[in-house]
Amino acid sequence: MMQSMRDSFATALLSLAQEHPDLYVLSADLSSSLKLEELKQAFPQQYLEVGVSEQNMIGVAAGLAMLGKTVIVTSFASFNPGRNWEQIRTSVCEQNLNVKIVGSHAGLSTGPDGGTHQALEDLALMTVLPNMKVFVPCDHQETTTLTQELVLQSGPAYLRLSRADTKLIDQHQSHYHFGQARVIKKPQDITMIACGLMVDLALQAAEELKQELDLEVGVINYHTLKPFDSATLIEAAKNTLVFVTLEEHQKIGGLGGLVAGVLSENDPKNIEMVAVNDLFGQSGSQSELFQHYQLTVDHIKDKAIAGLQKRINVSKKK
Amino acid sequence: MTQFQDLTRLSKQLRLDVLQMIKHAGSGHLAGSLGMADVFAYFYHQVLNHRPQEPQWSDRDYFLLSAGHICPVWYATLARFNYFDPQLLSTLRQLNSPLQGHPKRNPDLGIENTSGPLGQGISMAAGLAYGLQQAGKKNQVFVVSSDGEQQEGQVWEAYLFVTHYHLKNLTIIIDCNGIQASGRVSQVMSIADLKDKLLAFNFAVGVVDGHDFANIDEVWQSLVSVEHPKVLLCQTTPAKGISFMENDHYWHSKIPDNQQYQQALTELEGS
Repeated sequence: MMQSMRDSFATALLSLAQEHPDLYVLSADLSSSLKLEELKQAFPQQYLEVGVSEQNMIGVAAGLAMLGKTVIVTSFASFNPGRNWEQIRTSVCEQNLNVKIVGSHAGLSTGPDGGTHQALEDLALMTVLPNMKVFVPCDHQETTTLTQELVLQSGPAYLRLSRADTKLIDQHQSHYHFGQARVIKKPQDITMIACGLMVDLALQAAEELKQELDLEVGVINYHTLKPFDSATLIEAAKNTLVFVTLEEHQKIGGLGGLVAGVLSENDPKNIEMVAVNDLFGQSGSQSELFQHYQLTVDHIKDKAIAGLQKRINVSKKK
Repeated sequence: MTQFQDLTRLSKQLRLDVLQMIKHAGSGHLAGSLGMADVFAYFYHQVLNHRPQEPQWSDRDYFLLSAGHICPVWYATLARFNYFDPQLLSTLRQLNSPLQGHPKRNPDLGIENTSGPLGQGISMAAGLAYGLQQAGKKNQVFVVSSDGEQQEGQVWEAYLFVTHYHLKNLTIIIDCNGIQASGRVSQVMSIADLKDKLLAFNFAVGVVDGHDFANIDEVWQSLVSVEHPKVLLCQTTPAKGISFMENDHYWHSKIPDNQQYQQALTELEGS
């Protein structure tokens, strides 16, 4: 059954608001898009509308956090953290305050709204900041888990949400540990490293490669990009010839780069990156856009096989 | 006026501290720091409800600096109110010093907020004021901004928020010294009729001569009980107290050579 990440986020937030009277939720005129209407009704004292002013929203959140509040600031990822990055850097991260950035409608699944509204740079913007933690759920259930983590962890954090409805990708709840990437299929010659909606595509590609070519493929869900779980990656590298990284984000500055950085310092491997390649999005349906920007199961399979081929050719030369 | 003798003595000390700190550091913003010495002296001495020995006292008034580049006068004020040893002032802008070139939040020393990148402090003060007002607390919130800082769009976002939520526990102190980094504010990007703009936003606005304690006191006393968000426009002379620097934007962030420094020191000591 398909469910909305934003519904999971809002439901989780509702019970968190009840448990934590010091939890504040700020909205920049997008409360219905973030499904916050019920929270607004139930806990008006903990809900604060700031209007269309994402920069001021960060400062107000910082001020509330100085009083010991935990503050969730919400908008579309294009504006939050897109518009207010320097405010997040100075007012939140430099002061190491308990402010949580929630960017919804991230990535191409935002669809018809077009390129301006499809944040493909937010992970780069957030992972680069000291003190920041970065969470990228792959489905509605992981959204619930990571929304709870967002509030539980002290200090600045970013939660990336997609507009798309998701099916249940992984019964991960009982296995979840903070900062620990989730090995869904154990590492093989080819191991896929994915985050967000791309975890689903990684699993589909792995399944098809098994059926079509009898290739066993590993899949690891990196739901947390920061702190980055280097240990799981280095362990996986022991059994892996080729890594394929998958993200609904620019290739520059995203998950692929993080994986490449850790591996090149520890255990260099061939890496194939599936990502948006230095382009802006545009209007279209989610499936049209994923096709157009080559975030497809077929493309992932091609990349995996091409990577393996390159690796074999290199071995032959040696 | 005997009534303000202590303040006169204090602000003279602050100016000497500022000059010595910045000369020793070899860089920093003299003009704005010297220009605001009297206003800082007045608020910390006469207005703020605070306990330097218990800096994070929960009933304290909050004092934030948004125009972070004038932090030397903030640091000097905090030192002279015994938030920390004045000897620390000589570490301004040095590696590992808590007195960074632009403020880094350190509430134990009275440094309530990080600032420097302009436009953000008023929003932070607004968040504090909102939380305190909602909790029914008596604490007041003060934030120091500047005329040049009014060019930042976020400032106007913050003004909408402050007046929409009627944050009457908030006072925005604006240093109107008429200069900014590259020239006169009126020529770089005019913020003409600032008082009218703020009145249109529904602030209670006071205008003072920022070097006349009697005038500051009179205007503040008339403003303090007004049940509105407040703005105090402080007309100040950049680099006040050093004749050859006053009113010249060249001294926004320039350092005097040794001869100029001696002359400046002599003028301040004789004042």
